[in-house]
Amino acid sequence: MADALKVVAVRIQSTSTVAALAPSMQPQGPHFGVIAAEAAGPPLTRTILWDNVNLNEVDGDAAADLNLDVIEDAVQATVDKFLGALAIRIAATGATTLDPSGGTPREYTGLVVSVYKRTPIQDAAGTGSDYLLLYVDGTYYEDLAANFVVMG
Amino acid sequence: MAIAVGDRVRPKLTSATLGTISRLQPQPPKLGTVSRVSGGNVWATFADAGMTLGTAGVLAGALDQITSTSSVTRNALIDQVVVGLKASGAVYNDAFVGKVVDVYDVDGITKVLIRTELGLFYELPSTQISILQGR
Repeated sequence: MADALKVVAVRIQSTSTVAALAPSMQPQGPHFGVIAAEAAGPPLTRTILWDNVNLNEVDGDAAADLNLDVIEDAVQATVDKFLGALAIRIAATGATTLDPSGGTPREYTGLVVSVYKRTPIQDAAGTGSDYLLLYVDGTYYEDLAANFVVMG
Repeated sequence: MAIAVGDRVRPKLTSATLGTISRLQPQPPKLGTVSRVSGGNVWATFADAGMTLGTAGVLAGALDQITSTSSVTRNALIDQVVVGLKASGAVYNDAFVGKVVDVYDVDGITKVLIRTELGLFYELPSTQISILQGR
């Protein structure tokens, strides 16, 4: 019962495999699910009950092949800082003394609707990174919390 | 309280800590009704999704048990305009101001479902909201 009852989401899909370059703009928020059954296999099998109550079986040769992240509690300070706030991505050029976002256009300011940690399912618990789920004008995106700053 | 036939349930998407902060999915939950409990597994039907939990059911621990809260609590909160509170006591941004559209207990903890003017839904424990009087 290695993974039973863990909350999971499909790993963020992006054109870049570098986490720091992997924003995910999407028309809907990600789906989250809970592992409702599992089998050691082969193949390794995890049955996931998604939030839209679809029940799906994911098979893989190894845990890393399942392409799932375990959703865990973010660092409390990250939650306190971002949850329920307006946030904006910090420009690649970094913060300036006058603008902690470094000049990112304000139309990308988003509402932080969830804060959580994503840890690849094959990795040790708690070793992932904190992510934000933001809502902007009818779309959602997810990105590393470390890339964002709270708007005053 | 163990899940029993007839109970309302939904997929459990919260850890112990996240459960006190925010539900992950910013949409109203889809509720099912338990039709069978056997050997630690649960079967249920979800009318609004038009599906059941398969032939094997799911582990009982994968489901939240939804029960009605007291009428006193519900009447005090339903239709109120509220905003969420952070753990520090600070309020959420104004964009999270919304109307309480449902009040229920999740595994024994009273939760409110809030719909914001943007049409977003979020859920918090009833102790982590501030009622905005006169709104």
